[in-house]
Amino acid sequence: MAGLIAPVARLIEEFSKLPGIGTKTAQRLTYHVLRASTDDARSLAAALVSIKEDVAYCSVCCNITETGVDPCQICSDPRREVAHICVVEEPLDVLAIERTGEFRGRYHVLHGAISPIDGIGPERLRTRELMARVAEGGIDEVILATNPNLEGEATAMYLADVLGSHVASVTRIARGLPVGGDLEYADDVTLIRSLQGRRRIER
Amino acid sequence: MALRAAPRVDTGKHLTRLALENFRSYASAELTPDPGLTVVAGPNGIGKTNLLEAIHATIVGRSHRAGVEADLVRHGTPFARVRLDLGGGTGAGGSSVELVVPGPEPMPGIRKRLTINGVPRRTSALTDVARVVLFRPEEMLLLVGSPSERRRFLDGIVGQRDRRAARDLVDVARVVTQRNALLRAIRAEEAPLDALAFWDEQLAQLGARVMVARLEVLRELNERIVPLHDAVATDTERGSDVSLTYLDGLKEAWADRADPGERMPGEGELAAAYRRRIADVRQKEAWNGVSLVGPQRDDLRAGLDARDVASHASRGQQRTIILAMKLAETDLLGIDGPRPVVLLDDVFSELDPDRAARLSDLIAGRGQVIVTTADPGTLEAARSREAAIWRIVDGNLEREA
Ligand SMILES: [Zn+2]
Repeated sequence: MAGLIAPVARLIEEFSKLPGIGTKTAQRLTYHVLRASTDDARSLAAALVSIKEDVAYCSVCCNITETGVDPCQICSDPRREVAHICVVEEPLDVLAIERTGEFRGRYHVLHGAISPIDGIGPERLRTRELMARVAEGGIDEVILATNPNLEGEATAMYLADVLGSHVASVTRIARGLPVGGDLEYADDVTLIRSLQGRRRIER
Repeated sequence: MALRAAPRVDTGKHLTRLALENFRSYASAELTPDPGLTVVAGPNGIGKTNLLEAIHATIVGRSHRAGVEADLVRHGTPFARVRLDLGGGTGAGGSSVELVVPGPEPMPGIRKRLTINGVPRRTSALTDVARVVLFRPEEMLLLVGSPSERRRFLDGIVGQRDRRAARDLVDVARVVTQRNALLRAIRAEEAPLDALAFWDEQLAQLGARVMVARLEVLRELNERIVPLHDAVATDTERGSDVSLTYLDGLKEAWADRADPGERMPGEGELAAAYRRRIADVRQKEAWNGVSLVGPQRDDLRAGLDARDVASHASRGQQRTIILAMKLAETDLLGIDGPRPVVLLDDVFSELDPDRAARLSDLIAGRGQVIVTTADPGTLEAARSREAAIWRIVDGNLEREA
């Protein structure tokens, strides 16, 4: 862009790569940072770098964890029931279910759901890691807590199919969650009910 | 031209106010329509259709002509807002419906949002609050144009009458999109054929539900269409038998059953038929990379005295049938919910004076009507009949005294 000095143009370009941020918003953010104190700018930069350097994936449940803390806090908590796995799509879904205090087992985070239009099949999700956990034995129940929309149901159906012969009980959280909604936006009561009302998947 | 205002009887709840903010060409505009007839007059290209689009899109949940939703937002603004106030009638209390649509560069936290009396709701919740019939000039080609237009006609009725069906229509469209993507991946040998199982079953179940809903609407349209056709028809057209038939790709024998009562298959029967048909075409679908069965491929055919209208009827005969279909739509939406607001987008200019006169007589008895026109004749006729006349001046709406 004419009239823009290089450092400003560069930050605008970086901001506009973020989802939902167009050129105009990127410009506003850039001039905001420019006016802020050097400390604030450093702190923002440090936070950005830290999210890549200090966040890792738990080798058990695939949830995000702090670098050096592996297994993650939940997986290394001796009070958690090892025989129960709750499968969710995203790290935020773990937080949502943890808020209810209703589930005392451990999680498995898929990092997505089956969605052919996005080119996401089961092999693009953390399904191999889940199969490996189950193959090790000692798992009594897998609760499929993917979102209650088409993609979440497709994922649950796939997992029920491949897990069925390895686990005594594969259950699906009950409807009652708003159809088409995301788990992370559900209120606690709805989540508690859907966990209590989980059902076996018919195959 | 005989544009006539509705008789001043209780018309039930109606639209008392439309307020726009950064919607299409309007920075800010307000229309307070008459409970009977309102005419918005002005030359073409001045934003008349935008008003009807705002009302229609808010009630049915999406625009009939915007490629992307952000097109609804006035250039350079972060979001558009449409507010509909409904009131009047004998029922106590009014309702207020508000739609917010984010622009191409929305502010943080602005998402598409519909609220009814301030509470966020799904569009399907509107079936008990407001309904709408939009009649566009392009619909004069409904019977010879693409099948998607005829499905849109049917689904517009289905979706407004039944919340579950409205959700099913959205879901089945998503299932078909996902299934087509998967079929393309299968064709490219990037996914196994058995990954289809889930989507096949969804298509069978949702397809069956959508088809049952469409068949039911078609049955009720057929019950009404002959007398409505007679009412709109010219002398020579009167007395004809008009019927609408559903064309599905299921290759079952229902359509040939003698007893019309038996011709209406149930949901379970249809889902089973879908499963059979999907299995039949699976290999062909994998080669083509596209779904070959489902409600997204069905069609609607009109018959006039047992002959196919698309190939045998004159343009005039087709128009008479289409007007009868739109009147039947209006009546059907009104029997089990709020009487629809009828929006006529410059359709009188498409009609000869006799048909236009009969249409305006028929429509006037059916509640609230908002008409756009660029035609001075239509406007003159409306002016002499106590219609509320509005004009668009410099992007603002002004009521003619
Ligand atoms: Zn872990």
